[in-house]
Amino acid sequence: MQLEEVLSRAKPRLAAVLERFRIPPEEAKDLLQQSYLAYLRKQGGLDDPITWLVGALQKECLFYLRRQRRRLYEAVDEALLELCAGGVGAPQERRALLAEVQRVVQRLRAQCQRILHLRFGLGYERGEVAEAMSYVPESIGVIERRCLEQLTRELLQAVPEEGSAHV
Amino acid sequence: MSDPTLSSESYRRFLDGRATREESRAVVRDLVRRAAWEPGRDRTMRRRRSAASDCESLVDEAAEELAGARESVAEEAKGVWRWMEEARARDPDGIELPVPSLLAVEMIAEEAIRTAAVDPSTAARWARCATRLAAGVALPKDRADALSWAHLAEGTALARASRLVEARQHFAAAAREREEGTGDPMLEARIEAEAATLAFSSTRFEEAVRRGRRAIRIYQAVGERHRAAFCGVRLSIFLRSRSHDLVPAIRELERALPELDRTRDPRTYFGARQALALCHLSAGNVDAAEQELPELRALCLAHGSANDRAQVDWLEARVAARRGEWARAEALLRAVRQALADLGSGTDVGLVSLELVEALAARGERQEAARLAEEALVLLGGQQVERDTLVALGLMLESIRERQVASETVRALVERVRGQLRGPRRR
Repeated sequence: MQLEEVLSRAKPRLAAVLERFRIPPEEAKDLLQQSYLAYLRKQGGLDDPITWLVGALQKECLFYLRRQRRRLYEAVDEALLELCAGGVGAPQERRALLAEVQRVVQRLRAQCQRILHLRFGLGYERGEVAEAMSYVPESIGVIERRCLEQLTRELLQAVPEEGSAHV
Repeated sequence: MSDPTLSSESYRRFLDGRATREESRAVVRDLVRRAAWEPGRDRTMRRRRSAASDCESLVDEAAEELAGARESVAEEAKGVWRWMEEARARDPDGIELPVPSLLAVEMIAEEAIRTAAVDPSTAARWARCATRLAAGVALPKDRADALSWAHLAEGTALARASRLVEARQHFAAAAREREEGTGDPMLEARIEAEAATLAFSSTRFEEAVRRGRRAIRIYQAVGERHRAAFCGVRLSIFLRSRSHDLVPAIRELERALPELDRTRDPRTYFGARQALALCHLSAGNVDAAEQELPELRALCLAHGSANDRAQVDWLEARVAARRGEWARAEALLRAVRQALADLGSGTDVGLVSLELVEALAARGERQEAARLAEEALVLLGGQQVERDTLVALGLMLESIRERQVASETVRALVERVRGQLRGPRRR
């Protein structure tokens, strides 16, 4: 089957995938191109090229969403570290912020409450958190990221309506 | 309550990753304030947690991940369904219905596999949820894929919990289900990669190497360079254990390193570079190992933990020891030993102590060497060191006391203990 024919027949399903993952139009083009390139490399030995192409685009979309999520967690982490470190704003503002962070963190799992308190409240480095929590240093990165994911999800619940359309 | 200067545009820029640093700070500050004082939020969360069963709450979490932030799988499915209905109204013949729950199963299985290395029991719960959901996927081929993902997740969780026979059965089932499915190459590669690791854990090195190579080929064929390289790093470990011939392992690492996406996965990149340096050192290429040190130091500064820094210092100490610079080696090893003791890494402290024994014996400090050898014997006695090696360590201790031990003997024993502790049975 020629590429043009595959693309023409796969088009509705590819559109469905992009819609399902809510990929913004400006990103969709890049993801489609990545999938086409993967397809062109693979083309020879495929029994069902359309299904394969749709699967490849699904993967690209999943990776895209993961990248986006990770970027958001990192932005929240960085901003909170700066705010909580006290380099920005008056001391009373920092105290108020810490109290509010604490209030949000209390809704998370007990393990995350302890880790985030050490990170934002006491300013511990990753190694120090691992030590204080008796984790092996190799695992603390994963655990800490999961806690940041939870915290970010909790914060995103509070995005005002007019800003939430793109979440 | 919220910052009056913040507009919805600021939020949009933050969520799209286009916000400036100051704007990000302002948005996060505002979000914390809103989230902290949102009425009724605490009560809702408590009710949701207490009411949900174990599996349901896990599925709920996965659903949140799946939808990016806050929609459940069911809500997403409804959205897809609505869109499909509209599309069908426009063009009745040009559309096939997708099954969103396959994606849900895949996401949950991925979560199980990702968690398995650090928390096998949670991974097992995720895997059971994936199995339960997979049976409900509507289309037969998608259901087969979903079941394959679920078996893969269960197998991985079991493997990490050292239940190797059951894990193998699940991987075989995953492969069978995949045969009935859509033929997703990524799924096949994933099964091969995990099965290779299992084979390695079961000391079936030939099978581990064969399946590892197959996973690499599949990833390369679909253009997944990073994943192929990741499997290459694992393969280097299998090769090293299969024959103790370091040349193929070094070749594999050198092939994988340029292909690894160091921005996406800095830990793997660091681990691969460290493994390459250690392979060079064990193969006697001291210059090549030393050349890796500046890069490893730079990586440590950017992404490393206290343990990583200690490991790089350890490597430098070993390079010094191989060059016969015993005073420098001793100073470095003492610092590394202290750093690892602070991190609570008992096994590594034992190994460093043994290497210190070598350095001290070489410098003629027999009394201190004997004291450390005794300490290492205690530290390693509780680990997975074979009985005859422990006996040899005991004999070495006696020899040090008798002033008869050669530095080569100590080094050979250190390598032997290291091999036994780092081998597949430890995994």
